[in-house]
Amino acid sequence: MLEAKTYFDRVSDQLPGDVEARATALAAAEAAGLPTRRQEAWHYTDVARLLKNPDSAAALPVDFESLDPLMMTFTNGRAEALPEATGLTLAPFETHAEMAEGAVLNYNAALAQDGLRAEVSGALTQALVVTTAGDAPTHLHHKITLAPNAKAVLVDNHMSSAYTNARFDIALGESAELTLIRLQQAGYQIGTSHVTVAGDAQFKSVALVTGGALARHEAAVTLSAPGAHAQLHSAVIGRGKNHADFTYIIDHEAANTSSNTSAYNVLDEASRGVFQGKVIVRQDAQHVEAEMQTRAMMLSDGAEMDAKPELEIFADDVACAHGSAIGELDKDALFFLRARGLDEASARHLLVVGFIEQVLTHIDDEAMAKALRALVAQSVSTQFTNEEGA
Amino acid sequence: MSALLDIQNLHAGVEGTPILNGLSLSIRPGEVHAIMGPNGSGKSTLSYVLAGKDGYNVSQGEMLFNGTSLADMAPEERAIAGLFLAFQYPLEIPGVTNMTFLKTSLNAIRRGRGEDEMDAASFLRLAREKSRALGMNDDMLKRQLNVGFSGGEKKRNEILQMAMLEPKLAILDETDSGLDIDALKTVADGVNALRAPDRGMLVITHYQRLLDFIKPDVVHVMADGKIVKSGGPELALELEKSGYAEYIGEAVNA
Amino acid sequence: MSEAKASIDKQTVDQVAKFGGEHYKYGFTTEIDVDKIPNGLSEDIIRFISAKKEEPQWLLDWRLDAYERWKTMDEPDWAHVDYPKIDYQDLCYYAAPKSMEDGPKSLDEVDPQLLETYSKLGIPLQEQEVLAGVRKVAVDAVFDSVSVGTTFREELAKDGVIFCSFSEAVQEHPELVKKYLGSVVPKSDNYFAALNSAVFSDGSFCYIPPGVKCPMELSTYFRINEANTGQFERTLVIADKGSYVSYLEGCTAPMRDENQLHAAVVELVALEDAEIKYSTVQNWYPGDENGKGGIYNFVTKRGDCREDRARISWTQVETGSAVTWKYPSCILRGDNSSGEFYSIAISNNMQQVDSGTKMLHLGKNTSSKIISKGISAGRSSNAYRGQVNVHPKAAGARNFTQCDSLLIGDKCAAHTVPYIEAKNLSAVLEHEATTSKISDDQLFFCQQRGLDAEEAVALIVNGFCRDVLQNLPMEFAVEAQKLVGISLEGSVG
Repeated sequence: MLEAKTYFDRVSDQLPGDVEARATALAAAEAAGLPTRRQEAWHYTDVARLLKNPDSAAALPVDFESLDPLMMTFTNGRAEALPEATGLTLAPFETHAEMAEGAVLNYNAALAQDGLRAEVSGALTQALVVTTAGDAPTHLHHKITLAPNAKAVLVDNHMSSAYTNARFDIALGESAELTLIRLQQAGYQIGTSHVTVAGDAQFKSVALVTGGALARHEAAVTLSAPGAHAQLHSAVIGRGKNHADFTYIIDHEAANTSSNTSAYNVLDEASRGVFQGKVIVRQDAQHVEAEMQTRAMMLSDGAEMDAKPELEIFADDVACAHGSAIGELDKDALFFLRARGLDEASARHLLVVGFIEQVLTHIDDEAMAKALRALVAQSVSTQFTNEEGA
Repeated sequence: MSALLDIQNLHAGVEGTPILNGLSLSIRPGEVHAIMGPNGSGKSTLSYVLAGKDGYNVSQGEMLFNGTSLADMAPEERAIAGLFLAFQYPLEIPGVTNMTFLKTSLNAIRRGRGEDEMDAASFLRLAREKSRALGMNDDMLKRQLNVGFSGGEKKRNEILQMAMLEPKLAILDETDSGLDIDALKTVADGVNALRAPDRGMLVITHYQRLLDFIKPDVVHVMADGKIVKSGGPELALELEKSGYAEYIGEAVNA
Repeated sequence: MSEAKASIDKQTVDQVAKFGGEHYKYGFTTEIDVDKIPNGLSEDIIRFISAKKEEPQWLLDWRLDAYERWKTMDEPDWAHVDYPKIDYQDLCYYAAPKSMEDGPKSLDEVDPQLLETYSKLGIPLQEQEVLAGVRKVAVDAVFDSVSVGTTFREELAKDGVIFCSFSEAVQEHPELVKKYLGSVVPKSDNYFAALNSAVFSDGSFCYIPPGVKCPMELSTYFRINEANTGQFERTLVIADKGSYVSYLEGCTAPMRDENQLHAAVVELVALEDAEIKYSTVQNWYPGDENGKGGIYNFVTKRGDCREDRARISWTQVETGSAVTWKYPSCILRGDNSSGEFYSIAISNNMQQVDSGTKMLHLGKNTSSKIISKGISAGRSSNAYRGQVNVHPKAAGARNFTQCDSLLIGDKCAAHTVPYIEAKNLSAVLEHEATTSKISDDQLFFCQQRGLDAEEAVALIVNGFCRDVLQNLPMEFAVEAQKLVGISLEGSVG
């Protein structure tokens, strides 16, 4: 689908920075090729095949108005006006490509057109909503740094119907707090994030995928000093042949760190949910608490859920647990709601919305949560009207 | 006065196993009937069959609610018609607040009856009024439906729903199970407050104790899937003294 | 409190370390005359082995085909285990006690040293009189690659139960062997299964006829003695319609400085309404405290619930071997069939374990249960790797998995790698895993009630493993419980 080399030759003079470095990265990417199922980390996601699937319905607009946010949009990979705010410095996109590990990141290094270069030095009072829009293949490389004690809420609002390769490098200084909200409603996205969390810093990610033929969200989070805490929550509403894959590695390098991960998938028609979560606790990382939960609600024969919650523990004074539950819509709950007057479609709607709500409940900002609830309700409505009983 | 609920010779079962074997029962508006019986007599099955739970099939007999057969009605249609079942084991629905659930349910029933939906402010007022009357604090309305509720709180929540939805026939399935005496009194008070000349109640219970607080007009004994004896409130006291043994024998010989 | 904890931890770690090398009580070797073939693996060696056992042509062809496949395969490298490359040409593939050459007619004719070995191991080769309340256990003793003797065969034969060495089954019941061999673990299944299929020497064969509940437990004790040999047993257990058998497997080996390879294949077939309970207490020499020596245990075990309502359960207590790679699995083919896996895996010193199970749900309304308890101590690494896979047509599948890891000391590692794959709407899959250490509160409580650190650890660990220990047949349960205690403390808890 990419025809990367041809594309590169065509646009290389428009891309900022050192063409040579980009060409080297491209060569490395081409040599390795897009990941295949033979690589353990891509065991459940056949990228080549998924890129050929037709995309699902178009993205619905999300009403962020009530948040009064800072807005910026990357249209086909290019940003327009940069917003301004106290405590936020937005630098122009960097001009050199760094060689990376793996084809996905090397393609990104070779072809990245633009990206956020944000430094947050204080507590931002407004959320920053970054929208990715358009209909052409897009490569973005974002770098976000929070200084010690800085606070920010960042929304990655993916609305593009095309292929996007997005890279996020995030560094949280001591006691900094970042809430990252990731939305995907359409398109084919491979998102790779690297997050380092310093002492007493808090990283919270809430992801909501309601569409998109391919939604691959990979995050490697390193808890590098005592007090660091990470929470990663994801919700997937799957339909058609959509494929959502959340692959996390949470590395507890330091002692007295904690993490909490959850994944909620509602899967209908022939959609597929994948969750691969690896928690690593290094040998000197004592007094670590790590928890991971996967839940899937299967709504049709043809839907598939694959969960691989992994633990790699080298320290002993730890409390690590994970749980996974996969099942269909609770028939007893359905009966209960119908016995209270709801027709079947409404009852199913309420149960699905309630299921997803368990992820949205982690969003502190009520206005933000409300906006996302509206998106969920709409998304579930268009899907579950007049459904026959399972 | 015609019957609110008229069950004639009902045979029903679940997954091919027959459980109700010719049950007949008639409840008039304003009446409170109690059904008592040993475990396995089919008490809960009766409540599920009346409410229309999937998997329960009627093979013979009739169930008429205000003259209309319930047989082909979906569970929500029965609710809209005014039938309410207070569950023995109320369900938890994570992610859905008590408030949201009550509003959705109330408005669904109102819509079904051709009435206007209640506006948010009126609804809130009503919900607060009814929950306070039951000794519940406003906080419980904001919590997720039954998640983390104690047994007593869950049962009280069922009665709250009954108070909000104002059914014509309320079936209370072992409402007293798992409750201590204080919770029991609170629940019974709530139920008693809902007695009305145009409302009927069917109280299903294993123990006589509940009937000290919710005094029935008629008491039935159920064994092996049918009613084997009916009488006044004193029948309940007899059962407490001598247990169900003689009725199990009767059902077998009947 | 943390000082006390540190000292308790140190004591525990020391106790555990002590067991590692010196205290493996099965570490003795037996001096007997052995018939060995030269090292190396080739078509000729395979023909030699087959000829020595007087096998029919079809089996030789089968072996040769497996060998051809093996040559094209790569040794798996994805597990959490690290070991020096094995030189497959530097192994001896056949060693049999000389006294067995002409096949002893009775135990009287077996080399007394051999009998002594089993006596030292506490394994009853002589048929024991029935003591009040004690059930008979039939034993097939396998010494290096050869079956030494099988007890209670006549009595079993009265019910039509066939229990004999694999080699004998090939001679006496070829139609059964031919029908079922390789039907659960095909020769090309994996690298070690292919190797085993080419060079397997002996093992146990067991057939239970329709409707028969096997009147006693059947067991096999594997003993590796000769150095520098590879051990390749092949076991086949068939439970015909409506039958039941409980089968026990025990294994020990002498202490040696070199590693020895043990690559076995166990196939279980349960037909309609049949049940097989397969229990293992594995105590291969685990290597010394520096990781020198010890058995490499690469085993493929699989049960096929071939027809409706078949049931297979695997129960294992694994305390030995330097490197373990084994995943006893169940194929739930028949409708309403069920598979269970109960496991305690203890690793100490430098042991490495990558073990677990696979439950494949194919039929309708199948169910599986997995309870896995891993205990890591010393500088060992213990990984649970499991797969629960529900096929799109497997409606009503149910799985419950509980895998817990206990870490003793801070130099060891515990890993959990579950693959949970649901392709059917009505599957209900529940999985829980925890990793922790023995809590200070628990230890303190035990000590406050008079137990010393060793006893406390034994008590707590036994509690940790209780779900699994409860599932072992009585004869093994006691032995297993003792073994759990020993392998962690050096003396019975």
